[in-house]
Amino acid sequence: MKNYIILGLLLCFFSCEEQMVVIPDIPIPATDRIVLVEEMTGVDCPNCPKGSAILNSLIAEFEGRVIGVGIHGDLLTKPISSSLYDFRTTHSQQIEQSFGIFAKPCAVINRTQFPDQGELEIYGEDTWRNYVQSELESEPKVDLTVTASLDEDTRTANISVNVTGREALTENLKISIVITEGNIVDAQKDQSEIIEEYNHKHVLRTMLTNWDGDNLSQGINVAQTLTKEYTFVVPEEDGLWKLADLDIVAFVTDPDGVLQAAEVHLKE
Amino acid sequence: MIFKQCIAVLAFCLCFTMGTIAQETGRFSGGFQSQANFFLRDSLIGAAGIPQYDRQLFGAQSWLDLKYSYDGFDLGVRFDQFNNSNLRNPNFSFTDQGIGRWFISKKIEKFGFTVGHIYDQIGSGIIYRAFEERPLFIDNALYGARVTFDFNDDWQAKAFTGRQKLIFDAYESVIKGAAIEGYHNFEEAGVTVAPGIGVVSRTLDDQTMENVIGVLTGYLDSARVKPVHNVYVGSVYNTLNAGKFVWYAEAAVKSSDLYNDPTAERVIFGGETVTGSFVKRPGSVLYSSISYAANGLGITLEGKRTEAFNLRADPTLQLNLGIINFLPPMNRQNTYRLTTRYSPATQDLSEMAFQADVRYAINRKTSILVNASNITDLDGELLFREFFTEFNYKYKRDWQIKTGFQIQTYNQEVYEVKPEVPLVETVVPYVDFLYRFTRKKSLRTEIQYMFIGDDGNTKQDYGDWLFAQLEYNLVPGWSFVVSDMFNANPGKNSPVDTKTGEKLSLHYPRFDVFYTHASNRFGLSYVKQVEGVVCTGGICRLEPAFSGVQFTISSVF
Repeated sequence: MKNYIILGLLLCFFSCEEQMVVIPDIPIPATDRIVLVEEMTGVDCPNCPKGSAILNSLIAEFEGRVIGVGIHGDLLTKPISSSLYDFRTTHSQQIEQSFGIFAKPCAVINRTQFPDQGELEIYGEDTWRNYVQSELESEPKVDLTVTASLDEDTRTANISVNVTGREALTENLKISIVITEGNIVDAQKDQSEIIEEYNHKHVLRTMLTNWDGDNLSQGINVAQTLTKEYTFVVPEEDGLWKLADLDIVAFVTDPDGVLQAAEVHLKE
Repeated sequence: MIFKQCIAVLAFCLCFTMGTIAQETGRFSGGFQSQANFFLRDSLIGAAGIPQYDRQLFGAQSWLDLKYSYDGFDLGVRFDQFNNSNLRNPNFSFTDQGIGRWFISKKIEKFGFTVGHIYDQIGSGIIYRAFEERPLFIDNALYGARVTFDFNDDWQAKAFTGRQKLIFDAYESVIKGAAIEGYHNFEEAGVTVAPGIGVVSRTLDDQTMENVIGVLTGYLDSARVKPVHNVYVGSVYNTLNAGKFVWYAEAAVKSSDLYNDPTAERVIFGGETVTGSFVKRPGSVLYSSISYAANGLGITLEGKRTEAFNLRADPTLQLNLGIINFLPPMNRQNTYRLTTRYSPATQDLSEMAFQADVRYAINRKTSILVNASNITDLDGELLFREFFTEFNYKYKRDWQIKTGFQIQTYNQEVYEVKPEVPLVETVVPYVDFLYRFTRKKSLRTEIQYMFIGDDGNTKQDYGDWLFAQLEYNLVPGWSFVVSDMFNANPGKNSPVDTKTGEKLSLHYPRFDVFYTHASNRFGLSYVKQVEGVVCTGGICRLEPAFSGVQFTISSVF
């Protein structure tokens, strides 16, 4: 009996060698889906530059198919000693609090809770790509276009969004409009140093809607188009609100997440 | 699903209970533990900005354990409840409840069978440890089955398989393991040995592997590694007891496996270089301790070398999630408030650690203790160093004094990922004085002061601290504790007065009342607590500041 037990235990661990895993080159899905990645970040967060770099690489790899928004909410966002600016806004704090994050960096992708995740936010920036790829595989349920015109003299922007149904939907739809700014050079903590001239990209600067969106309609029919107009006067602030570096991000949500996103430069 | 399992277990218990009425009786045992937090917002110390402080105001967590034993059967079930709890995530609110554990165990002659949620370990835990650590929200039970076989009274084999528990669910990867452990007494030589050998394997499920492949698909060719479904770890260990000496040694190896190395660099799409990358390497741990005890003298020497021994249910998991094994800490497990402020978390990728502990009882009244530890990474970078002393004197039954000091060097940059901070250096003298007025009334006083290093003009971290505590015990039952942790000389990270810009010297008071009746303990506390690292056995996490009232119940029956 003893020998059988010992032999059995050994067999458990020295069975056949496994077949080596092959890492395929997965093509970018040929759909019209555009994915929103909300990156929870902060200037006092030493691991966040890597998260931002990963987001930038996703934007570069899936060119035109991924939109990034940097949310500087509560956690690790207080300006550090050499900071020039404070990126925290009421909207970013409300968004971050609604997700309930406990570490950074993390990302919320299309505001969708994926089956293998306990929360909306996804920790482990190396895994973000999986969820982006997964979201890109499905066609959007609505089409979304956003256009912007800017009067540079008055710094007034007129923004128009059109949402057209691809499928008949009955859920409550909301529209969110975010103004992001890139090329903000300011201090950022890194793992072993403070980067004094870090290039902060796609920072959420304000929203023209509520933090969780404005009501658009109760459902939508196929080919039905809904339009919303917004006007925004760009503030003047030394080093910030640079017209050439502002983008307008729009996205439509239903209770399960983002249906489609779109982005345009404020100043073409 | 879980609910059905619970009903089944309870029904099973009930059947046994009814069946025992006419025969011998079984035995019920269990325990109840609960902690309720009433959150009082204090933005000055950072106790704000989470739902509990802003709107929920209350949170609680409770556990009820029930165990039943009868005729070789052991059955158990545990109900876990989290209501607006900050335990899982100190910065957010978690609400859920359900069966946190159930198990059925039966001994049949030389075989033992257990199914359900199983806590167990092999050797010192280096290759496998399934355990629960409630203050850190760790519950790594194996949800599966285990078989044991007793060759004789001294030798036993065991094998198990299952999945690691994840709150009220389980990770998808499969863990299996086996071990043979024994004991032999060489009577003529006066030597006993307790050798063992263990192996554990983790097999990734297809979904997890797809996620891993998805991650690696995003890597450029220069950084890509080929993942494996199966990782194997094995260890041999032995405890040798020879008269006044006890020697434990364990050597563990891990097959080449994928893990996230936060120090590895790679180039990403777009040309930027990032730090932190999945790599694939084999790992190892060597651990040994030797103790000598005789004539009032006790000496323990320990050493551990760790290389690439990250073992998780899923290689993409981080923090304290999905850890399959346990690496023993190599620093003194302190208890005083200020001596525990900077504690090192065990490093699983690169660590070389030594510890020496010497205790000597000069006579029945007087004893001394000296402990020293030194932890570096494998490149020699200092991570942690501690020198701790304790002098203990008892005067009859009237009073007792413990006093000593601690000198520490703590690599905050590594342990707390804080860039550009120098090694934190502290000196903490302390006095612990216990005076018994009568057999039933006593007063214990603790005073500690932390002197911290400075970076030119500014004190490191939060600066110097003074801690004082009075504890009045009234036997039986009552205990009253008053303490204050005072930021006597504020440092770089201390809160700032928004009007004057001056660093604030804040008080962090605490008041506790404890009442013990039989095996029930109740506590009511007002707590204001500074942000800090909380560690248990080398596993640590950063805890934010706390402000509020806590009510605790702990009961065993």
